[in-house]
Amino acid sequence: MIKTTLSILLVLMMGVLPAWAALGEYEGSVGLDQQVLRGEMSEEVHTGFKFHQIITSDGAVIREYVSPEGKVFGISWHARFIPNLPQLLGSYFPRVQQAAQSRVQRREPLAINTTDFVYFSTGRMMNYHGSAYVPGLLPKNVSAGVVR
Amino acid sequence: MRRAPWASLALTLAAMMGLIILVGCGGGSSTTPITPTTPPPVANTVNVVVNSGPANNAVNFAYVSVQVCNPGSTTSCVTIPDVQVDTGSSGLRILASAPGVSGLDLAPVTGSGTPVYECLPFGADYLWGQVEQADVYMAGEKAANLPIQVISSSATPSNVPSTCTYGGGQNLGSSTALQANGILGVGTTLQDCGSACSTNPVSLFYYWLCSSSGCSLADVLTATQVSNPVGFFESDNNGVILALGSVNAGGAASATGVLTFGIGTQSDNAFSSSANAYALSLNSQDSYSIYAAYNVLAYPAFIDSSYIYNLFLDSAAVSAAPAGAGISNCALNSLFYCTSSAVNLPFTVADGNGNTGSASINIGNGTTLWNSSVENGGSNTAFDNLAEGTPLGGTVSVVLGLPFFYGNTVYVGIAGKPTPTGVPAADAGLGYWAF
Repeated sequence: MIKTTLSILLVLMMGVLPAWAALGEYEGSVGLDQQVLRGEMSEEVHTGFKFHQIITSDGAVIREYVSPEGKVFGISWHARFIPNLPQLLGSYFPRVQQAAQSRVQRREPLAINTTDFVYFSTGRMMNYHGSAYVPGLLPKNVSAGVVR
Repeated sequence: MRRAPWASLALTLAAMMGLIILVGCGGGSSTTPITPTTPPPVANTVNVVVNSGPANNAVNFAYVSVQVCNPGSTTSCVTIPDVQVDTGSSGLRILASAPGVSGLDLAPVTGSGTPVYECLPFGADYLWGQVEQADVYMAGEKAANLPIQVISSSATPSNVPSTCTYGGGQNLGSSTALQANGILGVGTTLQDCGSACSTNPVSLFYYWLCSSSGCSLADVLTATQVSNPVGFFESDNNGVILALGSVNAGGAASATGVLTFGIGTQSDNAFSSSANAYALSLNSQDSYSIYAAYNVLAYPAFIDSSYIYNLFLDSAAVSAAPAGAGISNCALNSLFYCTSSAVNLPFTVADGNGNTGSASINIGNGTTLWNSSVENGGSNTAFDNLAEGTPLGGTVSVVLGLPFFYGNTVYVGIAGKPTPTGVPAADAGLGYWAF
């Protein structure tokens, strides 16, 4: 027997996404992400940066890395379904679309390695992970390697 | 000595033809057929080829042919060539546009009378198509009424659910985009999703019910989810063995190999005494993997024949160990690894059950190799030394892709199935990889 469900989450996803995404934005947008993703949020403070961690109802773990200036400089995720990257990447998502639509090796992981935006996304069914960061927003003395 | 039924049939035929045949199994004057205690061997191997594929644009794609029939029919069938062998997924997926598929009349899987569709995203791109049941044949093996995915049929709604495009990529609904006519997922699980897609309410966006008024998220019983054909073969159903021939360091225009069904179920598929089995376990990234240890640290590792390169950490991590010295990314915006001379990079393999072993990958000059490929006007399609890294800061894991399979024999054991001699039963709980 197959039953259907249609969650409130979906209703939100199906609508037009406003420009409230987090990467490159001020920290306040993290709360909006949490609302859209409907997850439990926690915060972890490190030397020179902190990250908010959102764990959604389906077990996805999403981290948003925040600089002392209050800007989200990095995002990472691991999940059993690819997360809402348009929401999380905001103004950077078109860069992902452009790279993904123009490449030849389509099913491979997608990587973008440019001076102003670094991105990596890989996935097979039930197993998706990736990260993104903005080099220009990296806090002083913080390595990009913290975004994972 | 017991005589098989066909022996008495042969005698009868011989007698009818007036011939005398001496049967060398003495004492057998009885003509009563006796049921043999073991069934005759089932053909359990298919040829694998690595070439440029149906759209002449593929590199490091391993293909087989798969026969798909209408359920219950042995005549309404089509043999689909150029189906990619994928040890990293489970389930058969075929393009509706593949040769002959449009002439089939498969049985749609439905929920409350509404057809079931599936979205399968990758890191960026995705597949979208209907779930239907078919009889699937390979060699002498048969999986009856198997749920498969038929990609981009004319009935498939063009309005893809927005969640399916979260990765920003392309719909892989053509042979040019897919670089294959389909995907044969022979991974470690029986179904592609499992219980996470059968519970209500379902929170993962894989399965949908679609009607003319649109699509809604569906929970689908595991029995009707897209399923690994091997796990549902009548025999030889505990896993596969994929072995590819060696290729030269400069690459090759093609390569060949064999996909064998069953592990330790017949005389031709015994588990080699030189192989080590590694059990899958839940890793810190919430997925199931084994581990690759390199330069002190251990990373989640996957064996996935659908990856065209070995994905091995990042260039800084690789070059930090003596064996990886001199490796760098080929160019600023390329993640292919380049080396001035060939590198064989050893690492340690481990699992959560205490099994350990060693393995290595070859790393060549990615730019030189790629420039010799069909992607760039060359003729090469097979490379055993194509490797790539994640950008520094990316989530790190290791994927042993198709290059790892050349000159190697890799076993994929299905979760929960009996293990062969040489593999502890405890290793099969979540499936295992061995090489």
